[in-house]
Amino acid sequence: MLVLSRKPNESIVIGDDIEVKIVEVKGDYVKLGITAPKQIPVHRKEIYEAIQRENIEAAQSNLADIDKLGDLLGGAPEGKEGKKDGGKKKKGS
Amino acid sequence: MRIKTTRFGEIEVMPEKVIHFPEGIIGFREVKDYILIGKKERMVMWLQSVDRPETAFIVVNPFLFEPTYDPKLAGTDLEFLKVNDVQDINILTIVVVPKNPQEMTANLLGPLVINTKERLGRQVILTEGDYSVKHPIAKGYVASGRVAQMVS
Repeated sequence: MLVLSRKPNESIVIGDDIEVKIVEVKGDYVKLGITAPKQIPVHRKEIYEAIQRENIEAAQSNLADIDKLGDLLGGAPEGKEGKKDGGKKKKGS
Repeated sequence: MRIKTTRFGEIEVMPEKVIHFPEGIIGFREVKDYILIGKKERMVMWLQSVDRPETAFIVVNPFLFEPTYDPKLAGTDLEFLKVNDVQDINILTIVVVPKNPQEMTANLLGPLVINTKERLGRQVILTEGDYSVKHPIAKGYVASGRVAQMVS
């Protein structure tokens, strides 16, 4: 890992079009300003990882799961119409 | 065109219905093309990868269980998605269904934003609004005063 020392208001550039600026340093808190092209998403790492975990978990869903959700929300996914189980769905809200 | 899916077998898809996520979906960066399976009015759909049979997500219209949901999209997101008219935007949230379905959650912090006209999508991470990646759906649904018996 490249480690650089910077002072407030100094910045680094990554490639041609990404700039990371130290906006403020207060105790153990550093405020960064990031300028990057719109196709490059910039996120806090812990939030990014939380969403990644959520997506990976979500991708394990199976057909039974969407039925449960359909029940909960009072509808049913397409293609399941013929399989309605004894009026459990369509509570008619 | 015909695509292979793990859950639905081989299905016929209209190419113009494909939604392109130029960045993929977070954690699935290389999976960029999807179709929605299910009827919009039913609110619950599958977002199925066109290229990867096993990759699919249950997605739901978040306003159904969280009417006050207010995802603030950044100008860069709208630009990225080539949005000219906000009417073209469709917002969906990915659902996780644990063993106890009452504990189902939707990811309100990272909604999928789709420009239905351009067929472009992006998973956006909201920076405003203090939303959760695990928003309980059942609770929200009760709060909106419908099917309260489901959680009694």
